[in-house]
Amino acid sequence: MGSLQIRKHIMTGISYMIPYVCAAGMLMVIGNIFGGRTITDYRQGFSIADALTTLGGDGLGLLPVFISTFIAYSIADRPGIAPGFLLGLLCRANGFGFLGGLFTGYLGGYLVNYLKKSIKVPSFMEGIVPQMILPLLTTIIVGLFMEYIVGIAILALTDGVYTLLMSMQNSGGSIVLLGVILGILSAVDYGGPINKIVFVFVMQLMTQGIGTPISVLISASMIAPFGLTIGYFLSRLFKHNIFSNQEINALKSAFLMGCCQITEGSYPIILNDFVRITICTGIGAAVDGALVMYWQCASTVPAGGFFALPGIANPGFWLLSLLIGSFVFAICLQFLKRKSTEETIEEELEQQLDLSSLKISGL
Amino acid sequence: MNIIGVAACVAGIAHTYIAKKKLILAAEKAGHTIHIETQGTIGIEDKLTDNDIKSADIVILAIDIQIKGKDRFIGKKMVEVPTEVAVHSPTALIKKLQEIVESVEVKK
Repeated sequence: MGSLQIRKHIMTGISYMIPYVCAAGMLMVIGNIFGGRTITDYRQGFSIADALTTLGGDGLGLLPVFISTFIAYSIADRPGIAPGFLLGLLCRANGFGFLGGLFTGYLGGYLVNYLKKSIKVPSFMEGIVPQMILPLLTTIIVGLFMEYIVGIAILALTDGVYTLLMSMQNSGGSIVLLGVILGILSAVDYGGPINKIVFVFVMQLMTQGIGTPISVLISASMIAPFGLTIGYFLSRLFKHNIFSNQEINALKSAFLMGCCQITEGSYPIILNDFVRITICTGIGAAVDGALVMYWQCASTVPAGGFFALPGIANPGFWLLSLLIGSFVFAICLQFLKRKSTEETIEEELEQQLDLSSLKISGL
Repeated sequence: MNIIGVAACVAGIAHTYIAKKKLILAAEKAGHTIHIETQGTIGIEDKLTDNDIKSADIVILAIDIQIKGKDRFIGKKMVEVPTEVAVHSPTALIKKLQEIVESVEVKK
């Protein structure tokens, strides 16, 4: 069976995803700048900005589907596409998010490959195996596994977090601690399922007139793109080069999207060094969340990044919290982040050939 | 020696083309003929022809992702590396390719 090549398949998925995220993210950014709102009823008339915002938002919402499809495609080639797509839809409908999509992409792809080898049919039936049997069987098996086993675990987690947050909000004194927890939970999975659980919770508080928690969420969601940007300039200042050219390119769109509270633009950088950067995110978001809570920057707008500012109380302090949080992130980054593979055109001396990286076949 | 290959990196903008350039420079300096196809974000460029593939002594894949048309090379001697290896040590890599080809010829 050989190695599973987990890294290669996620990289293939991401290489297909980058243009998609850029297009959808920028649609949303442009729409938001011109005051676009998500269209709920097309009959009531809408502006161009509304149309852009809605399309961009729908596009980002389909990210789980996209990544699941292309990881499955990378693993299993054409027969992987159909199950990858369907399983991605399942993740989206259940709110399993981007990480759920990654997971179904791998499961679906490997299962298709396994079935490809193990299903034996009479030769007159061979045609229907890739047409129907592989996609159908894979989708049923992985789909039911996701719904009944993974789903239950995620739901249990959701309920646990919800109860915990509710009891903290009611106990008054621990408001800063609540900020810390909300900040961390909003930020560490970059718009994934944990972030969405927090969103449901803070949305509910907002409709009850408690606007600070949602303000924490907006702010904490922007920590990763801003922290990375500040981290880049700090690294230039200290001549401590930790960003590859590829990452610097990705950073530009990550920053623009970050202004609109879209974290997805940072994925290409974060995934290069997921654990270390996520530690920075957690620390930065914790500081940020605590400060937003402490300064009582309540919000009446549920999302939008800087475009939510008109709806936020004490906007100056809110910005300051964001800035401090991002700086904390950036400083942690200097110690933790390592440079990923980089091009060194000027370098004349060659590195030793790493023989372990060679895969030779066909001799 | 006749070398062919494919270069493809994750973003498909930079490493793909740097790897290609470095491999070509290193191979030509050592006196080999070389043809590298790129599979970047723009799609396939400098596509290998059937003739290229038939006449090749060895295939070098400098890739970080799954590429299109890998089945074209079935039955060929093939070496696969991440793009960074082709970028960092192209001359050593080409030399290694030559060793592989020669060692097989000696056995024959």
